[in-house]
Amino acid sequence: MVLNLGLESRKWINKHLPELRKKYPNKTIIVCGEAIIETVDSPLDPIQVNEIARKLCKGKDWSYTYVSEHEEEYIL
Amino acid sequence: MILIDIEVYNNVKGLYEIFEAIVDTGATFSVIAEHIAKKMGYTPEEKIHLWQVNSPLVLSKSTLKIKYKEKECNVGGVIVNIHKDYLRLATPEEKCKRPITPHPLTGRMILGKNFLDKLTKKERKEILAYLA
Repeated sequence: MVLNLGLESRKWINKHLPELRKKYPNKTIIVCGEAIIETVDSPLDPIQVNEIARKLCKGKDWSYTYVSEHEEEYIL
Repeated sequence: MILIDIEVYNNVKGLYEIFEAIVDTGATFSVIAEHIAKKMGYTPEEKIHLWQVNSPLVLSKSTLKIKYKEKECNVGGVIVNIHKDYLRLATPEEKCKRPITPHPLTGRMILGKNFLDKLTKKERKEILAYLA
């Protein structure tokens, strides 16, 4: 299967990250285009995320992130 | 923090997996967590001694097969072991000992300068423009 590198979905995540931190704190979200299609209440490794996204996004542009509520305050 | 997507080859499954990556121009090497490297069939090679903030850090090297915008490249990576308790949120009792959030590499990797060096000037500019 050809995977589409989530360029548009990534742009959308990066643009909306401040709001996402308030709305989906400490959840893993999978974004397809400009829509959140799955939220998981825990951090996942990328292989687990890819397994879910392959089923849900079926060749469409997608991306993911763990929406850490306070992460940027804690990275050196 | 600059977050981008790349594809990393999974040697076990024989396909590329999409990864969220932190771009770190201050890191010499790209970094992948051991729990992910193991699942993807990246085996530790020779040891390397690096400086972290206040002490040396000894890690294992490995060569990561990465694809960015359809361009494949082999990138020197280091495999870092993250204690399994750091792959989750902190419990209230831990608050003073560690940040609340899971380790940033729980579900991601770091792309260091050795990855950026493989890109064109235009691609590097596009990535760094996320800071703007």
